[in-house]
Amino acid sequence: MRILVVEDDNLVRTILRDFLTEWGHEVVLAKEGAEAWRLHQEKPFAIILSDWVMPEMDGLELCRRIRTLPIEGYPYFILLTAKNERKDFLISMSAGVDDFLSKPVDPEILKARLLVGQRIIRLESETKASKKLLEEELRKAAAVQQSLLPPSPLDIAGVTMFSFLKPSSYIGGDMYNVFALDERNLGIYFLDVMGHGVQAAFLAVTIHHMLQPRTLDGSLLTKRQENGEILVLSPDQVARKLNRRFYADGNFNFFTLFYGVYNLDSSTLSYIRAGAPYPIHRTQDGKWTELTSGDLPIGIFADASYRSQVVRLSPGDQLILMSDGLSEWLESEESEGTKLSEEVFKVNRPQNILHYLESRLAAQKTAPHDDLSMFILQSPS
Amino acid sequence: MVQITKLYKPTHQAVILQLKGELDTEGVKQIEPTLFQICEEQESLILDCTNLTYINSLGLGLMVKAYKRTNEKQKRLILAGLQEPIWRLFEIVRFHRLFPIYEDVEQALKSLGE
Repeated sequence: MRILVVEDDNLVRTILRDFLTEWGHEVVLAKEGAEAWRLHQEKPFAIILSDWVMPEMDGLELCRRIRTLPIEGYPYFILLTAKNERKDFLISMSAGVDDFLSKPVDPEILKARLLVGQRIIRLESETKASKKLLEEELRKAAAVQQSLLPPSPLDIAGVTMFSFLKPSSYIGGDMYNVFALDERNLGIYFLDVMGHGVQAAFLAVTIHHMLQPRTLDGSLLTKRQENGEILVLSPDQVARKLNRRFYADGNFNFFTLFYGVYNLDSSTLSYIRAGAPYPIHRTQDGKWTELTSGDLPIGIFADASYRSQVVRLSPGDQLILMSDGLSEWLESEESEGTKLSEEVFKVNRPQNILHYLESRLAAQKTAPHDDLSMFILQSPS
Repeated sequence: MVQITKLYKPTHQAVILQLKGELDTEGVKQIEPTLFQICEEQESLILDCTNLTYINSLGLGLMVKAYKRTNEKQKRLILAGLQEPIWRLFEIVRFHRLFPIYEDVEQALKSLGE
């Protein structure tokens, strides 16, 4: 171990150096606190063995300063002192000292205490390494999850889509997607699994795979008829199937879902809102309304009922979907005295809405405590 | 974080659980055992949400679990005093149609018929 000995008494300093060297440590000596502080900043030590009372900077001040340094490893600090009253012990511990040794130092006790220090340093570095490994794994998982989201902007048959997702931790429970169900129908979903983190993300990805349009043999979203044609199922049929399947898995968990089928010929959107935040229908002249009718989230009751609603999107109209995290955040934020939830939809073009939100989010000092995501569909002009 | 206070109204055979603060991930962990124990023991439970300022999706999940436990045994779980942001969230997820909800504890007690 690389040990720094801080001691103003020449004799004590030399004795400590001899013992430590004999026990196989690499030793650097400092005559007082300021010198030790400089040496530690140049190249941090694993263990600091410091006297308390010294001219200029004392051992306690040295320890306080060392604790403020944002460095990789944990420096183990042992204070050597002739002070051995209860209050001295309490003061030094609150300054960040790890151990307290009375002078004159008993070499066998010092050796034993150093072993404790080494054990703590090893545990700390092992914990840090495992944390790093887990974070790396989560980052990879996040990249996989992000890769499942559609690109933004995206154009399918003249319908343009814009979206963004900002997860609160590495991975989260928000997912959305858009796809062609057949030549004339687009499917759009936006889901949010209860809770956050790994479990929510796994479920979100599972549901994402369930909501894929596999036209060959039919899927949760479509049905192959006897004549071979593919029938696009209505959103309420999809919600009921999903609810039964999700409820039957036995683990209590639920998710909110918006699922819509947009028909290119009639420009109508048939949808279900299962507990998801109110979708916003924004017309080309800038008027916007919340679509408030809806049903319970998916996975709560086996026999929950779901009814499809229909909205007609005129040329250039937008449908805006968002996560509850974003909806809450818009309610809590203000811009010149007006709630952001009132302000943001005054912005005209979808890409400007997203740009406006992203710049507001980038200015945030603290990370969001929930996933924030938005999806905007614009009908062809 | 959420604080809970348990009040017992022998005249109504009901327990009132006052929730104060935020029913978030931590809050759910804090109250889950107490809440389920009361659901087990009592015939009627009133959740007084007058001082509840926030609830997240896990908090909503906890409420549904409590609803299911009481409903299975024909017991009563009543909510009272929901503040505007929480009421709005209940409307969004349609829980306002699931639970009996009253303006305050007095009204909730009256609904128990005594």
